[in-house]
Amino acid sequence: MTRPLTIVALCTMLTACAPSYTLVTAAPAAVARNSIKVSPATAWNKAPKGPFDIAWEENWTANGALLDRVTFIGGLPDGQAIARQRPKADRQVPVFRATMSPQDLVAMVETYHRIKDGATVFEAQGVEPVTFVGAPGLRFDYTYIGTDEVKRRGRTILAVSGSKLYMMALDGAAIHYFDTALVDFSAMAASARL
Amino acid sequence: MTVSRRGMIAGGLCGCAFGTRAAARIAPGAMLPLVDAGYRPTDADERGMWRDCDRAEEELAASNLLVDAPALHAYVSGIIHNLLGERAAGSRLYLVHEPTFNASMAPNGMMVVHSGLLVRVRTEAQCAAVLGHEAGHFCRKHNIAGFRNRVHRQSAMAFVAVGSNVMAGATAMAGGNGRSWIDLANNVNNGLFASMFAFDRSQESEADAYGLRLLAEAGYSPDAAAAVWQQLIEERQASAAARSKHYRARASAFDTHPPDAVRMADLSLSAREIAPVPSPRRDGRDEFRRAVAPLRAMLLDELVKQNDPGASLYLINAHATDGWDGTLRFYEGEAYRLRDAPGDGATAARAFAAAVVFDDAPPVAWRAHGYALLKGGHGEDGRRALARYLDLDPHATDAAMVRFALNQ
Repeated sequence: MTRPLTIVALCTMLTACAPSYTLVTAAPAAVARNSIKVSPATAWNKAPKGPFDIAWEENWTANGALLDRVTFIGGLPDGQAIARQRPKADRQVPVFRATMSPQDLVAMVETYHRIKDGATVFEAQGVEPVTFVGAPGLRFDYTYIGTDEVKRRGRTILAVSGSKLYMMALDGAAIHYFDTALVDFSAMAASARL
Repeated sequence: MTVSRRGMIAGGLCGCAFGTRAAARIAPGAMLPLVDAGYRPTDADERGMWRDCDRAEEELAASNLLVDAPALHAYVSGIIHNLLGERAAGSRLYLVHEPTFNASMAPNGMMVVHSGLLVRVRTEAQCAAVLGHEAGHFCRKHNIAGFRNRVHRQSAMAFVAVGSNVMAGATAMAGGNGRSWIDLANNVNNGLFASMFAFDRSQESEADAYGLRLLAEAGYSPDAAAAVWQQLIEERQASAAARSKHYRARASAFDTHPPDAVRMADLSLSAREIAPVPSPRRDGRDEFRRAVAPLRAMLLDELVKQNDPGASLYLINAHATDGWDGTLRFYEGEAYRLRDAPGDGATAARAFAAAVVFDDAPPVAWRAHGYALLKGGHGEDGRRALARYLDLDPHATDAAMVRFALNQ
């Protein structure tokens, strides 16, 4: 009798240690501290917090974060960065400023990938004006190669509203996964609201 | 042992340029090369290491991190040939996108050079000094020697650990305290562990000295090595200062990446030993500048986008000792823009304004100048600068966004 109990206890402990992904059903949802409301057409998995994640952030994935990842950042105030970082780290992602120009916002996203994803090759594909969460914003398309040498594509859609940053980003392997996730991502971004 | 492609790019296996602290100075003339033209591995250990390196090289050759620059590749290969002569026939060069200052040479002849090295050196002689150091590891067969050293010491450590436990057990059975055997074994093994690092440092000293010899034999000034080293120390000091940190030239028994003023002094001493009176030798400043010119903006971009402002601004100012131009001024502004400390916006704006005065200013300098003017409340001038950007690069990836800003 003791042995089965031990196995159950060990399994429970291991389960408690494992990262906890939770299912996100294909239904309207409030994300990133309930700051952005989106309507996914497919089911996703909400990822546990990662080492660089900030309080205003939420991440979803369909097939695992290495293959596809949707990032929501909602209500980031002026003076905060889009990544957690030590104040004295040699390399730092610039903090968000409400007065940032489009080129500043694009550079902030690029620097994030160069520093946090270890991207040594990063190419901007396009920057277009869009409306996001009811505010004028931009859509930034890019490709990059991170430390695992996998070529990825990315799309970041962001806007500054009430001096706060609202952002959705899709990053996925350039082969298959980015294009597959892009349909639902684009629909969510188009209908996102505060 | 295993060899990975990422390890190669990181310079982990094959000794990295100035990677570990050098030990006592070794006279450049005191060593003979252990590798000649057409050298092949001689025993099972070495053949195994070559096979691992060959496999890693196959993957590296297909990596999407390789720099696509045939002319620059040919130029750097020429430097390797200058250093190694006929032995260079067995070497293959791989330029990789990696913004750190490093290079490595594997025992099978695979030379990996980081883009971060190319942005930090300013003359052919300085580039040759780093490649010569790596070629020194290659010529003195340091990889196989290091592998054997680690195996022997780890075997000794295992023997000491097992022996001490046996003796501790026997002592305990005899009614004594076996703990002293364990303490003795720990002390011996700590010494053996530290000696592995000492061996690495000794190899670094050899590579320094042999590299200087190769540098001088190729007709370059041996003083170039100390110049590179001095610049690296100053860059790291600037990086630390910019983040309000203390720069520490570490010197413990377990150091793996310490820049070291003592080592720079040794390089200078060895240079004087090779060339007692500094004489005019090949510097290759203009040749290097011409070879790197087509990639210069990309190299500076990789550097500045790391947002390590102390290092970036130090290196930009070092390049500027050869004269400012539009590209350098633009990236100076970018470094301040990304740093975003109080007053940096205005400093960046001045740098962008200075950049666009030069004929060689990249189109993006006009964009940066335009946005800086808009932020400063100079709407008309800002829009004019943005329009100039679109004139120069009408198909820019962000042209639609800039047109939108112009219409606001």
